[in-house]
Amino acid sequence: MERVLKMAGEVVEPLYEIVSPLGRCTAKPIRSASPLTSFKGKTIGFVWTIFTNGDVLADIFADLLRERFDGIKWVKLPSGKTGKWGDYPHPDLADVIKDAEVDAVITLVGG
Amino acid sequence: MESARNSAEAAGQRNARLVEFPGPNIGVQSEADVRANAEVLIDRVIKSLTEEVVSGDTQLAAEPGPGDIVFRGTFSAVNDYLYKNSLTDGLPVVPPTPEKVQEFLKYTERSPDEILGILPPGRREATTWTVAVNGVMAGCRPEYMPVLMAITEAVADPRYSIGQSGSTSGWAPMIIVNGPIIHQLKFQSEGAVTRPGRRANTTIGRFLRLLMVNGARFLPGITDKATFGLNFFVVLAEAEHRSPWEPLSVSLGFKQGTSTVTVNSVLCVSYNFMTIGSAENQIGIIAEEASRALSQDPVLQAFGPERRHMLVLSPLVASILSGGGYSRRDIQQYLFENVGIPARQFDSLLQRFWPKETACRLAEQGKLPRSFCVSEDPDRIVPLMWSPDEFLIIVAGDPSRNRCFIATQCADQGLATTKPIDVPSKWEKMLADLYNYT
Repeated sequence: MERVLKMAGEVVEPLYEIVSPLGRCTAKPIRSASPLTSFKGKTIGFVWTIFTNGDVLADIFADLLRERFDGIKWVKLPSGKTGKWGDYPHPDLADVIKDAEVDAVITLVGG
Repeated sequence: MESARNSAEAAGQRNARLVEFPGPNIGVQSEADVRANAEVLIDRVIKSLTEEVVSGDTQLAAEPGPGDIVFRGTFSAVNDYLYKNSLTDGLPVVPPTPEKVQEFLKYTERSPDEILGILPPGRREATTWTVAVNGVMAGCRPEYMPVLMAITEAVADPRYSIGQSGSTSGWAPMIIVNGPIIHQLKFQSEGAVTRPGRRANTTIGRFLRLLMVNGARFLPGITDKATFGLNFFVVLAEAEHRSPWEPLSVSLGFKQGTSTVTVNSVLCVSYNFMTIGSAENQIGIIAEEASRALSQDPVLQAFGPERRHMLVLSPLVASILSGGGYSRRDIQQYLFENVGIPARQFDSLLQRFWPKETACRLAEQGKLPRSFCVSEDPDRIVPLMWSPDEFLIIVAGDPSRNRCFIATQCADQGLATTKPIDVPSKWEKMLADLYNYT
């Protein structure tokens, strides 16, 4: 509401009561997945958005995890069913991960 | 890191398992550097995946509802409050009082609570109410409300993919308006059409910037990860009354007389080049300039089958081309057949992004059409378009000048999306009362 307040004959600035320009937040709290008790024999997914060197990092991570844990299966995953270079992860990424039946997933964001 | 945390929280996940890869950008690191950094990082990755995340299910903080008063103060104090809370574009705004918002709501018959879309990455609802609030702040007039609604529906359409608006290239959306609304709301469509000055063009362009801040929550340097970033564009209204062709909206399948908005990403605006001579000469010049403009980033060719670059012709150039027998479609076809660059140049530019790739290798992988690799000759001309539809041809600007410009588009990021403008049933009378039309 806009008001012009007068104090002792002096005109002061109008006051404004304003509403928020933000839309309502649609987020619902998501509980994080339970942690792995061990990497041994697990299937680990690696999602990358096809940025330069993401594939290099995926291979190095795979090597480093295999050196530490026995029987690890390593799966490279796209950022969506039709993922292309530089894509913002597609909403169907969740399906990609579910279809891969991984125990945990590492996602490379940015680049 | 902050961007990833913000996006995760917007999706409802607090304390996501995040580990930061050491800089600089992994894309410029040697394989040895990537390995060295990975060796340091791997223990943190393992720890992150094997430790309980304690507050992933924490309730999100309560926020004010529509209509709740969030602040009271002078013009300066209101602007300071909004700026400090990352709710503006940095310019002063009109204070969004409930009374001002109600004035805007008179120009739509849709419920204030109607959700026009959810805008990622902030994943906030864009409702009729929030459109009105941001329209007030942008300095719009209340009767612009139907245009603001259509713009919001366009950017909320998955085809437009607003979630990619904060990408590295820093593209910005341009709004094109067609139909009777141009005259009704007094849009500028002729001289200096893309410069701030006319209220409808300028404030509606600014509205979209504010919607990106307050709806999608693109905050510069935080969730907006543009390397540099383009400023917002004022609305480009087509000079339909000066055009020899049907309005752009009709060429896109809308009925004559329907007002529309088209929102399209712009990566780069070319020099406003001059065309001379006959229609044949002029279209040849346009194809040369289009080859120059589209060769800047051939990687876009591999982003998928659709792009919608914009070729904006002054009315004079359009009339010369039309006089030479060229329809809009003829120009699109000509550009499709004549825009291209030598393969060695294409491959060299491509290899800035993918050091091992060539047009032929991408064609073999199905990421480019076969037309990009008709031979292995490095001097062959590689096309820069997948189809004639890739150019939107728009007539605007000073009617007497022989100038054009090209605005390149960012493929599936901000892909041109057109929506009809839904006006209230008493629109004509409302405008007549406002502007004293006879």
